Amino acid sequence: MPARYWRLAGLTGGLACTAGPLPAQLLVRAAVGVRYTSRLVHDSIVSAFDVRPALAPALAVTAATPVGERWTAQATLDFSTSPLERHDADGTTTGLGRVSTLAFTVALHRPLPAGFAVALGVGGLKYLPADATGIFRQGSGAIAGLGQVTVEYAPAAGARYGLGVQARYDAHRFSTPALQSEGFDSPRLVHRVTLAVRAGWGGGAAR
Amino acid sequence: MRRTGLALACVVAAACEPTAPVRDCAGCTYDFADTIPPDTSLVFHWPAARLPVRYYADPRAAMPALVATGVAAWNAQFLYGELRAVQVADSSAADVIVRWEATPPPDVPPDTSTVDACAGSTTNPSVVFRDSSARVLHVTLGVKAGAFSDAQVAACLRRVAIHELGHSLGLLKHSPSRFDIMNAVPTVSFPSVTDRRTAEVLYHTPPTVLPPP
Repeated sequence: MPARYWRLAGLTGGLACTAGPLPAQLLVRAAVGVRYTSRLVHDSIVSAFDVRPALAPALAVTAATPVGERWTAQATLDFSTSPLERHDADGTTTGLGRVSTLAFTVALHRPLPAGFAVALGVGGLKYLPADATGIFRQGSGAIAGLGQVTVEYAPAAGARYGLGVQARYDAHRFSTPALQSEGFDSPRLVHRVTLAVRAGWGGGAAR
Repeated sequence: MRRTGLALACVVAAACEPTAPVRDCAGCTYDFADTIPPDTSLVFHWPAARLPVRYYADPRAAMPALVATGVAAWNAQFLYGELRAVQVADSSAADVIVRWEATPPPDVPPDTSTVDACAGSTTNPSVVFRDSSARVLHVTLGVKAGAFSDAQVAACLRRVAIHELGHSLGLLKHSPSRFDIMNAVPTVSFPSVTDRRTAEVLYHTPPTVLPPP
């Protein structure tokens, strides 16, 4: 992971530790983890190959507030970045430049027994390529709709700092103007799985 | 019930799988390989380890702009990082050197004509890299004798520069279609869909001729 992303993660963590008290009804969490993304493109020119992002560092900041006895409403800004790679059938991998994603989701979060919790969310995701080349040569297309499920586990021992681990799954549909020009007739469903650790502060951070 | 669910899941999954473009249709591509009878096929393209391909342009007149146009035109044909070409200022660091055949023509804006007012040539990579120790390809551009206007020459040079850079990338043969930039007498201003498909197929075909490391 590039050093600047570790610095960004450190900065976020530092803010989480040093920020002043928040209103009792507002909870802020930061999560840092690693993300797997399924293939963005499957194509065949002479032989078949896939295009997908490499494992990516992922950073998410969530603001939440209770909306009932057991439910919490959340708004999350999520960022990840990694090299885009072409994987050929013969095992070779070719770098296609860096691509980042920025997603905004709103979700409902509900605690479960034994320190677990689940959140269901929807939102939008935008691809941010470093260069306007290849599949992004005509841009990255519109914001894609996103559906998300998060499962969290927060051990009692880490309640003071809102420490926990989370597994997040989300799905969206991917296409670009260049792929459409090439003849791809519809977007591809892309799955992402993120494993992260989180910390939080504010009222009810331990939940 | 369970089977119905499974079938439904399959239908949903299939619906999310886009159909890839057809690339092996008749007439979608043209021949790019040299042949030595009876059955030797010479396929050249720049391997991933040698990218970016470095072009040096004669600094006189419009040549830098012509090479920039050619480099941009071919870079734009590839979706999956198969090719990356750049222009360099040092001829000793170049893979391909593009020069004027003789005195450069005036640098004027091109018109919209398709007059065959210029000529170009490229040393054949399948010969240069296979049969000699040369490390560099050479492209030359020049003006044909005749009563052509400077704007007609400029328009021709723009087409022929893209055409010759196509040869230097490994499109060793001419397209039979006048709608392709790799036609023997190019009359179109940019690579066509067929040019693009042919270049894509070339760069996914294992080469039989490689440049020196």
